Amino acid sequence: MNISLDLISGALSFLFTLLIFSYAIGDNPLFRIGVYIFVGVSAGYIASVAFWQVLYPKLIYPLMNGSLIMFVPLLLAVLILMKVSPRLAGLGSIAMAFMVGVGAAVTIAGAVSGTLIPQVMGTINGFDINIAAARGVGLIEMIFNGAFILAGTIFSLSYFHFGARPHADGSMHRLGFIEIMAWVGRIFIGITLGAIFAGLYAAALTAFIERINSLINFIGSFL
Amino acid sequence: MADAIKCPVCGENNPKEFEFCQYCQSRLQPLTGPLKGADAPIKPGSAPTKKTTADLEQVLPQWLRDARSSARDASEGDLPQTPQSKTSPRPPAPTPPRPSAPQDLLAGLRSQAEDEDEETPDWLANITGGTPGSKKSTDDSSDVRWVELGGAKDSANEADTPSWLQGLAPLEPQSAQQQDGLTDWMHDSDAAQQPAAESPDWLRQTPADDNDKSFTNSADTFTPADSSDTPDWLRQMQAADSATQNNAAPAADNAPDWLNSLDSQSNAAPITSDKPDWLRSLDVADSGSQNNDNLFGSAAPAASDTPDWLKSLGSPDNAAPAQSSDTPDWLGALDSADSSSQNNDALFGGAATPSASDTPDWLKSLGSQDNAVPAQSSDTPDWLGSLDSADSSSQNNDALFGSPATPSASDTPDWLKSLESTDSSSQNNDALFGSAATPFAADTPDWLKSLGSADSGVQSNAVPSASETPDWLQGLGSETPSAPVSALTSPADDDWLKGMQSGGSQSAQSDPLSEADMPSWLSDSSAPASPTPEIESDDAALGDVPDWLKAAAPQSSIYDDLPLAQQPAAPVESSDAPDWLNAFKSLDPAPPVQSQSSSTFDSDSSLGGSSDALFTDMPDWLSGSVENPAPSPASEPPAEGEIEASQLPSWVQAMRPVDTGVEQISASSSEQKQLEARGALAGLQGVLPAAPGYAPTSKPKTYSLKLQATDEQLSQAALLERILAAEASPVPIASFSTLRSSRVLRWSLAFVFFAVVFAILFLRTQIFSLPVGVPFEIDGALKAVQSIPDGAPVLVAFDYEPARVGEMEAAAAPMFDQMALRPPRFTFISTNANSSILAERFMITGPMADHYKNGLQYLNLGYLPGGQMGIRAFVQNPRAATPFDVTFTRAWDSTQLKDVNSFSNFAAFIIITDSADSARAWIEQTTFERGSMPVVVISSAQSAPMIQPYYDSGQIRGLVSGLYGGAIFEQNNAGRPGTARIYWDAYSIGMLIAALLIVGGGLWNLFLGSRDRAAATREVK
Repeated sequence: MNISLDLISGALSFLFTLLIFSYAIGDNPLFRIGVYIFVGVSAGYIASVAFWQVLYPKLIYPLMNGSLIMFVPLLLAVLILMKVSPRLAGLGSIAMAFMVGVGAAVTIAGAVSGTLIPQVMGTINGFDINIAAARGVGLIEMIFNGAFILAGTIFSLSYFHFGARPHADGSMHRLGFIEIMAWVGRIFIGITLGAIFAGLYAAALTAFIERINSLINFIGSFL
Repeated sequence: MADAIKCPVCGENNPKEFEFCQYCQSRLQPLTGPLKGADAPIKPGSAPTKKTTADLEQVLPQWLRDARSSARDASEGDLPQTPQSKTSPRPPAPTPPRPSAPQDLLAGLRSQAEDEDEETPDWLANITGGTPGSKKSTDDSSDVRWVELGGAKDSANEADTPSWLQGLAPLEPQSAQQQDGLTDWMHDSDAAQQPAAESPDWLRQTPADDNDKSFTNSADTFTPADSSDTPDWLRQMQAADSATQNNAAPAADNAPDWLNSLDSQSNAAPITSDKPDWLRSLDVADSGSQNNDNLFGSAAPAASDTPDWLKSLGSPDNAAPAQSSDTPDWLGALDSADSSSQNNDALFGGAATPSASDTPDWLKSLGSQDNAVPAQSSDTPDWLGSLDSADSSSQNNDALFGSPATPSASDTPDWLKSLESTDSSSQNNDALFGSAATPFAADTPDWLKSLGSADSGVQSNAVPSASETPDWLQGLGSETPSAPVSALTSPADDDWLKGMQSGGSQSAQSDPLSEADMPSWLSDSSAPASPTPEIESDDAALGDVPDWLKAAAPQSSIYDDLPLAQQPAAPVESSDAPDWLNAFKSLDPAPPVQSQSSSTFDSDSSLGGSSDALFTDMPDWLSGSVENPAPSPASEPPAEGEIEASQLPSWVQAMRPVDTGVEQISASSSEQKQLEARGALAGLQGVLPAAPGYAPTSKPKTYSLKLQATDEQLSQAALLERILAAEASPVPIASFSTLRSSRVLRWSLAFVFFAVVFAILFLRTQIFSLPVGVPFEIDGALKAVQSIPDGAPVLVAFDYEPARVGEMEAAAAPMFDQMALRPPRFTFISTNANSSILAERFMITGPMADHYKNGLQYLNLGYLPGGQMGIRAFVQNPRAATPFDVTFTRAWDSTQLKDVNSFSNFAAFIIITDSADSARAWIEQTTFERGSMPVVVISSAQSAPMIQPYYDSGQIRGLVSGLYGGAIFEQNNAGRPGTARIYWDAYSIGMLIAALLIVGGGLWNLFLGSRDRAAATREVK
């Protein structure tokens, strides 16, 4: 009897799906078994990926091919391994510093150039007639959209303004107009979080549907 | 210590003849005359008496007088300085023991010359042959009495002073004119600076001797020089003085015998012949051996002219001087008695052996002393001889007649008997004629009896009668100055001398009867001298006695400090004695310091008493040191348990203010005269309180311990207590209810969702239509995909988790279907380790499986490590970052990437991610490298809101998110049903159920809230 790989994969898929769905009745060993299996498999898979897709092709193989420059990443990798031992953890700080430094620089540079400035420009461009015309947006709609985005941006940023002055009764309050802007910004933030929640729910629902559909497909394959 | 004077200030012992303490320069001898009592010790709290500064000048210590003199000299520097002032510079400070007696003696001279209106007594003028000095006109406007020696103005006023006294001022040259009015022998007292021809030698020598002596007394100034003009009696005094130093033989040629005897006190003292004998003896007596306290104790060889009675006074102690035959034996005995014993201080206690037969027997016995062999004269009354013998047998007797001698009473004069009886009743044997003086009876003149009865310090019961006083002696009262003249000596001397002796030992109480019969000065000699006020009153009564002789009345403080056992029995203020005799008192020789025994006359009392009786009315210049030994209240020893009050020197009296302030102080102090009973100051009087007026005036007010607070304060305090109590008490934490209801809800919702989804999927229903509209981001993505040329290299980044496979494949499958129409060259890359395998699944077993089977090619570069750094590295150099694909084949050598050398060589970049961060990382790191390359993001629905801004900013061309985006995109695939459609009904039902649950849950929560608030409101009401 030949057991198709799809059947095995479908069976395992069905089993682990039920194990995970068992969480609906609460934390249970089946759920934990399913989680532990997923975690173990993922870790094993990641380890193999790390070796076969990172270390071997990008370090070992070049070293084996005579690329001496790769001794530098090798040395840094060894130093990072020193973090395992508390006594030798200090040695790994060099590699960690290099990584953190380079990572921070790359991240900051990317955030500034790829997010901050383009987002500011995007807010400004909301009032650009040409862009609106290119998109086929009317002037009123453009102004409304731009004003809404500008107001949402300002009000949301005003919500995170925590500067305040003491009042006569000893309480601390922000300035009046900032308080109003913050209150409006809180609405924008609430809408955004609602949208995120909706997207999360939609993503989860889609995953649920897919799993139910896979179950149905697995069951339907036997029918 | 009868021979020593205890200083009342410093407590040191000083020789008896010292007027000032050799240690502290305090006055030892009380003042006489107008200043009598001025040196009385001041008790704390006693009111000061107003004194004239001039009167108090003499009271000042020597050092203070020196200081004043220096200041005065400086102020009078413009005045013509006399040689005297130049030659007598004052030592600045108290230095070694200085002879104070001469200075005080001269002080008397000064006072005589300047301030006092007394003139030279007639009797003295008669003696010296000069004229009595007239009263000087005082130039000095002030009342200051210049008592210093060698004062600037001394020489100017010395014309009024008897010349023989002027010479006593040491180092003061006298002009010849000033000395004209004096007898020659008196000029000699200034012999140190004057030619011997102008003044008697003995008088000239006096200043020189004063300068030479380091230890002198008041009698030193009488040291005469050898001069033929000097009366013998005075010369003898000088000789005696010098004999003390040199043991030279006296040359008493011209002096009267009776005075010579006085001079010859110590061992063969030289005596000048010009001095009257009686004065010589004075000199000798004072300057004699240090063991002598008595004037007559140390007798010098008597001159022939000296009256016998005076010779005896000057008889030496140890030597056997040549006694003049004229001297009464009894007087010679006196002299010898004093000089014979080293320990003898008594007047008649010497061991002299008077050889004169004229001496009354009773007086001869007086001369017998302890160490000397008494020469019993046949004329001496038996009772007196017994006295002598008795005294010599007793070493420790203080009184002459205090010894248990029992003389035969038959020969004793009555007055002497009375003395004896009086003394015998006394406990201390200090009196002159103490306890053994029983022989006084019938032979004694009555007036002498009275003297004898007035024993000092003892309540005298005897009442001597003065009716038998000889006339000559009465005449002495009126002619006192002439009394010492030897020429007046008569056989009746016995009587009046007896009186002197007895008077000297009489007690302080005098008999008025005797005073009536006696001359005033003599009657006063028998007056008791113990209380000072009485003495003063007695002095006032002596109008017939010259003041300067009155001033000589002994008021020595020697007696004040003596112990009670040795206290003199109330020394007598012998104010009625001849003045010149009173002066002798100040010439007492220095007592021996080491004296052990004290015979009858060893004690100061005996001597003082007898001397006082004799020399009360001495002039001031002679009254220097010896004072009335009347015991002052201050000298009385304090009672046991009390603290002795401090005594202030008399010179401080001069500085005490007597103004209003002082009166107030004294008044206030008088109010506080309570003795301090406790503490360290116990026994002191007038102790200042710790804080004046501090004593509480009333009982301290009592305050209630109950807190006085208002109701508001009490309520606030109670509130505070409650708050504090609430802080201390545990408060149960309001815990939310368990998820029991939630579990049911959860189970219910789970069941609903499972049932609905399973049913819809199982039924494959298409109840809900796909979305009709195309959002801009999806439209942009669609246009971007449609713009990808055929076979163009497209880089697809798979960055989502396996859990999101269903959503991501559902969202991405429609786009890939769209692209599969014009299949590009897909190159997959992943920044998530799990995503590389998901790319394989997406292409092989997923929505693109059919296309793969149909020859759709792709290149999976696998996992790109390093996150943003890996993306950055890949964007910069794709070949270096990912040289191999997942199958470990050189990726850049494949046909998929044959014309791709950089990131910008890709025709499109599609990001399939469920994380906004992953999408942001790719967008950010590819900003500068992608150029015009379209970027389309296929994201999960959960990350779409965060990626949407990148679309709005134009950084990406399109965004397809979730099942919703896949459904829209799927509609543009030429109507081919896809996965989105399969899921869409379930998805729509699920979204509807979620919406209903959210709305239903919100309404239910609102209802619960309204109910709780209503319940709370009811509870509050």
